Parts: sequence; structure tokens; C-alpha cells
Amino acid sequence: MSGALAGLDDRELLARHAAGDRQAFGLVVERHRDRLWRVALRTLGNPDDAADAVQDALLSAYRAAGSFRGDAAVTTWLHRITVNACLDLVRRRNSRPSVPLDDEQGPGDDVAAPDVLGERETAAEILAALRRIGPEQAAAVVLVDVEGFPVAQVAEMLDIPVGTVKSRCARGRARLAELLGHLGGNPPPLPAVEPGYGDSGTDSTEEST
Amino acid sequence: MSDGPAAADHLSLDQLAELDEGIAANADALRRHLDGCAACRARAGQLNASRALLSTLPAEAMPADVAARIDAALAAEPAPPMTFGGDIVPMQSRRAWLRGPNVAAAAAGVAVLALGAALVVGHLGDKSKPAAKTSAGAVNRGALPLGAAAPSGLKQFQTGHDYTAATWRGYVTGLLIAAPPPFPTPPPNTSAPVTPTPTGPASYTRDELRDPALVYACAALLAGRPVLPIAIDYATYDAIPADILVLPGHEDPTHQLDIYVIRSTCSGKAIDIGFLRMPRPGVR
Repeated sequence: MSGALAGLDDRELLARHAAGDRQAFGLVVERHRDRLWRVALRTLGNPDDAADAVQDALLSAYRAAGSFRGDAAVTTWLHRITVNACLDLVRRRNSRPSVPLDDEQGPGDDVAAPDVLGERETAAEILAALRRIGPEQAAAVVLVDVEGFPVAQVAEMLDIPVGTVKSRCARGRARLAELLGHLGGNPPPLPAVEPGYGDSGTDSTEEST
Repeated sequence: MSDGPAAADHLSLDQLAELDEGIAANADALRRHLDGCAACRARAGQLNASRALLSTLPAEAMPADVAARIDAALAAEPAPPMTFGGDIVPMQSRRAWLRGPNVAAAAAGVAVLALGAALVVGHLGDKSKPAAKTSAGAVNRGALPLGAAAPSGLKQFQTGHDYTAATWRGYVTGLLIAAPPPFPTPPPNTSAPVTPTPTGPASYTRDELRDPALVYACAALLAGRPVLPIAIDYATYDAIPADILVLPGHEDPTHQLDIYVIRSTCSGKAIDIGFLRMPRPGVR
């Protein structure tokens, strides 16, 4: 049965699912879950939350697959649902002040000195940094810089304008550079120069739409 | 940011990142500064290094325990609601329609309410565009199979068409115009439509629907009253095997067609029956 399904593309599988084929959706999940997992993990910076978010997302997709229109790619659609599940999860957390979002015990807190960091420790530091920049910026950076999706597709996934994706990416990258500076080389000292260039208000401006 | 006041005129990481992304204000001025400032170029390098770090993240798979947990959660879900693509309306809407303007006619229905779980596809009605163009001359007013040769006038087809939201009107029109091909089933052995038994376990598999007599029974079940089916095409809808059953319109048999898309069984409980409606082609 699933042998016959294996030849179908995602869209056809969703149609089968909508027609009551209980194996079709499983195949869609199988094809996408690793990437959805990575996106959720890095957007949230925490494996437990990521598991909750991906489960929520796939259940939503299961229920909504019948109304999938086919004008979006299945990949885009699934990522959109997954990122939304991540943001929902953080919103729920934030409405419960007893659970601090920021890392009182981040994965990178207890690691050894930077020069002896192994690959795993580096990954843990990056994860901690992504967690600190918050899910909106993290999602944009992860989808563009880690997963390599084009900005236009990410705009569709996040349901925001292309310009907003770019500004979230820029801001996220800047904060990551700050947080991860010790991993990639020392930030150089900055000599003072005479004034003349634009204001430094970029921190407070909300991204344009 | 970490830039002290003294460094206000160096580019911040934000500005560098915006410059990189092509969204910086004063890009020319920033770039001029960058060209002449080794410290800022070094900070730009820091930005690139951290981006490069991101690309070293391993392409890890979902952990097996998480995958198992999600599979279990999905397996516990009820079967997905049935849909057919196109404009999908919940079955309640069809119920409202059947009972709406012509309550008396629908009151005769025995199976309509039992169709609660089914869904309505593309409620088109009269407000929709006319069906795919057909040559009006080829379809005479009132000369459609209904009445002309009933009850043996049921046309059975196996066109091989894949009906979709975009094509179904054209294909249905084709069914009305085309002469039915020789079809390998016995001629109908009933001269009167079979009426469904309200209490009976009325349910017909798609195999059984090869028998014209059972097509009549299925049509009566779906319409909620005895009705003479016009045509049936053993075909596919959205690439999924489905019988396309064409009936005269519920309230206006002269001007409308009701089309049922039957994916597994024709029964009052089937959740995989879709419903379509279009004006009768060629009838003004």
C-alpha cells in the first residue's frame, strides 16, 4: 500500500489523505519531519519545546490537509504551520510569567573555554544564542541561513513581507554575531572616530513592513 | 548595542547586517566609512563568521522518541474529514440548501439527514458561471435522457476522465451529450425506481453501482426521494477513483443538475461523498 503511495508527490498524498487514506499523511510526515524538527528546535532553542511544537503543527496539518489549496508548495505550507506552532508555544509561555523564556540554564552556559569547544558544544552554543534572540528573528535566520530557503519563500512561510524577513534576518544576524563573537574570533577593538554618520537608532526601530 | 558612545560613528553590527541585506539607510555613506575603516571591516568579518557558524549546524534527524510520540498522536486522530478540493462547504450547508427554498420536496427525503458527515463540494447554484460551453443545438430542451428513455435511460460511462474542480463541468456536459458506449452490464431489470428503505442498511459499493438497478437505489438514497438518474461515469475525481452520478436538480429538475461524487460507498453514512451542482447545459 505505502509502496504504491511512495511514487506520489506531496500534493497527491495530501489528496489521498483527504480521501481517507490513513497511510498517506504518514508518508508526508516521514518526508518532512527531520527538517521541521530542525527548524522548530532552532527557532525555539529547546528540544522539549520543539517536540511539542512539531507535534502541534503536524496535528494541525493532519486536520487541515483537506483544505490545502495546492497554490502553496507543501513544504512552504508545513513550515508555515510549524513556525506558527513555535510562536504560539512561546506566546503561551509568555502569558505564564512563572516560566521564564530566557535561559536561566541555557545549554551553552556550562561549556568549556571556547578554544576547546567541540562540534557539539558549538552547536549547543549556537542553539542557546538562537534562543536568546527570540523566535521571530530565530525563525527568519534559521530558514534563510541554516535551511537555505529563498527570502521570498520564507516570507510566504512566515506570512510577512519580504522586507520584514530581511530586517529580521539582519537584526538576528547582528545579535548572533554579538552572542557568538567568542566562537568566531575576537571582536576587534573600536577606535573612536569623529561623528558624522547616521544615528544608531537601529536597535529601537521596528522592522518595516 | 555594545557600541559605546565614542564609537557611535562606526558601523553597528545592525548597520553592517542591514548593509549586507541591502536594506540599510544611508547605504552609500555607510559603505564609504566601511571602505576606510579597518575596524568596521573586521566587525563585518565577525558578522560573516557567525553566519558561517550557523551553516555548521548538523543536519540532525528528529530523535526517534519524538518521532514515535508524534506518530502515536497522529494515529490517535480520527480519520480526516473528507474533502474533494475546489470550493468545499460543510454538509450542513447542503442540508440547508436541500431543505431551504423547497421544504416540501425535501421533506420527502429519508436519507438526507443521515448524510451528516458528508461534505458539500462547490455549491455552485445559479449564481455560478454557466457550465462549460456546449453546443446548444446538440442538447435539446427536455431531450436529456430523463423522460426520453427512462428508466432504462441511465447512461453508463467509463470515460477515463479525471474530474477536478476545473474540469468537472465540462465532463458532465460531455456525459449529457455523448451517446453512451456499449457497457458490459445487464440492462436494468426494473421499470420503477427502487426506493430506499428508511430503516434498511442501504449501502452500495462502487462495484454494485455497475448494476443500473442499484444506481437507481443509490440515487434515491442520496436525493432523499425517488429520482431517475441521468448518467453515471466510473471515473476518478482528483485522481482518486470515484463514481460521478448525475441527477436532475433537486428543486429544479429542468434547469439544474446535481452531481454526486462517490468515492467508496453510496450510503447514508458515507463521509466520502461530494456534492456538486450546475445548471443544465443547453437549457435556457
